[in-house]
Amino acid sequence: MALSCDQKKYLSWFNHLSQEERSWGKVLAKVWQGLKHFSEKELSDKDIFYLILLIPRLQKKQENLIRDLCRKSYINYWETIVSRAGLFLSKICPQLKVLIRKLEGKSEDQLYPYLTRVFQNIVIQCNNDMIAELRKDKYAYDDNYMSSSPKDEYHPLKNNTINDIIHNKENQEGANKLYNEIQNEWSLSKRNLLCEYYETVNGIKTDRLKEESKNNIYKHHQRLRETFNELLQRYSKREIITFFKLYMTELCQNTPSSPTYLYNKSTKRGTL
Amino acid sequence: MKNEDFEKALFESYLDSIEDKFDFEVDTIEIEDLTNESGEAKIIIKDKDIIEPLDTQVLGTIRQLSHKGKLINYVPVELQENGLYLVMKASSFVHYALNIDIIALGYSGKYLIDPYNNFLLYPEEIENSVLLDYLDTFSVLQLQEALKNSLTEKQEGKRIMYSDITESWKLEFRIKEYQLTSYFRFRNLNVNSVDLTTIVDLLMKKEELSINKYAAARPTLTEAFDLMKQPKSSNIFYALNHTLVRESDARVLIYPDDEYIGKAGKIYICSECVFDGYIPKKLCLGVIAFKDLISIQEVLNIRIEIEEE
Repeated sequence: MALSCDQKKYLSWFNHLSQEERSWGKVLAKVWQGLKHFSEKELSDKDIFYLILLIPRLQKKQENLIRDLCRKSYINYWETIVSRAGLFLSKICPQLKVLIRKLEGKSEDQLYPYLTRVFQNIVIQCNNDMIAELRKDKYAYDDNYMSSSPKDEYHPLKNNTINDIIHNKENQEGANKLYNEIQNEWSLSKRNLLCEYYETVNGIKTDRLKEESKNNIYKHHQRLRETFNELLQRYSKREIITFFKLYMTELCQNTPSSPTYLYNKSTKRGTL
Repeated sequence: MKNEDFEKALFESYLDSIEDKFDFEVDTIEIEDLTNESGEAKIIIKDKDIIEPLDTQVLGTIRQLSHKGKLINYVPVELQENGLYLVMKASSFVHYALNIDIIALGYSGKYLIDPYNNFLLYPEEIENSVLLDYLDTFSVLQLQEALKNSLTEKQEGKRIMYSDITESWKLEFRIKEYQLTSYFRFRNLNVNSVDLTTIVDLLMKKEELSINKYAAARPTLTEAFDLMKQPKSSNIFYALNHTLVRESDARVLIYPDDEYIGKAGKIYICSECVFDGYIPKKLCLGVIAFKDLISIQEVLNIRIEIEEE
């Protein structure tokens, strides 16, 4: 989907807004209204204009830095705002339904401060991407903490979010290979453990390992971490992230739940 | 833009981002800027199969709480048996990342997570925080591993290696991040003893880099007189409102004067507030490679200020 943003149209629209229409509450309400229905209908020009009005005002110091960088590099500032509006939408999209559910029934007094902070966080991320792009920065930090692989360098605007990672074809292929390996080579007990870990982390109600002692579960989790450390020798961090996102639900559906680490174990509190 | 100017502006934007205040007034210059340019730009939204986060997730979520006018981003990493969450400090400013940090991906972008800057939060504090983003399960696994390592290192008395900080802004960022969490890091600890080793290490590093060589205020006349009249070789140094003691294992401890203990106040080192809360009986500065306690007091300029009742 491509939305055209004509600057003259925007300015004409902006100049016709009353002071009240330019106020924080009104702008935020308009943006939120557009976003709430984003999945059902496309955004109108006005929705986009309100977003463009909002973005530069959420982090003013960062905005000044972007404007300075544009001015000094003869880069069109308007384009950076429009580009960030697009980035904002791509970043907020996957979280929208969860956010809408979370904010359902909240009064305006609670809703607006909450939304402001959520939007500010996204705008900081969009601005950071833009600043890095404008500076053509290559931050040399270790992105792959456990494997210390140098191949994961920071590239602005590329692979910057979970969604970017999981939609990469190479990552998907690696994730599929890992899924097959786990399905075919891991014992049922180990798969049950992995599912217990996944469900616990994600707050999903689970009966897996519920008859094991806390200490045993702790030790099993430690072993699981070691296994994934070893897997990092053969799979990239991004492939493993993609595996968790794409295949864990399916894996857990196919793995019968066991309250103990060893299936069919009659004794409670099994030890390692 | 010169690199130093850029770094300064970026750091100011980081400081701005942690302020819990909001100003939405229209900037007229910005509008003028827009009219000087021309053209049309396009927003391209890729139609992707969206994989949504799970709204039941607590561990591995990026959350924000507000404390004393500052915004603190963090990530819950472990639910403890006592019902408290162990959380780590998080920030969107990955530009300041060090090798000890973990960079984790969320739906909105990347986060720098410092496994050593961890603290406990109550479930109500987690619930009342603003939920900003969700990390993936694998990042949680990595964070738990890093947490385990950081706690083991702490138990073994190992210090964090800040030797790779050669850039002053990275150091300034780290000091600020530790200041932001100091209330939470110290509130559940034994009230009699507080460990300031990490922040002191950072401040010593700052001195070393000579970023702010003269930030520590000069001693007052009374303090200067105190410094002069005490022997340099002593393992005890009496300052104006505290005593410095070097233990047999070379650790340096601060013992605030009795009348300060249990009172609400602040402790400053090198002009930076390193403790804000009820003054404990003793505070550990760690092992400081200085010849004598007088020099430590002089360089660190340790001060205790009690809040007025």
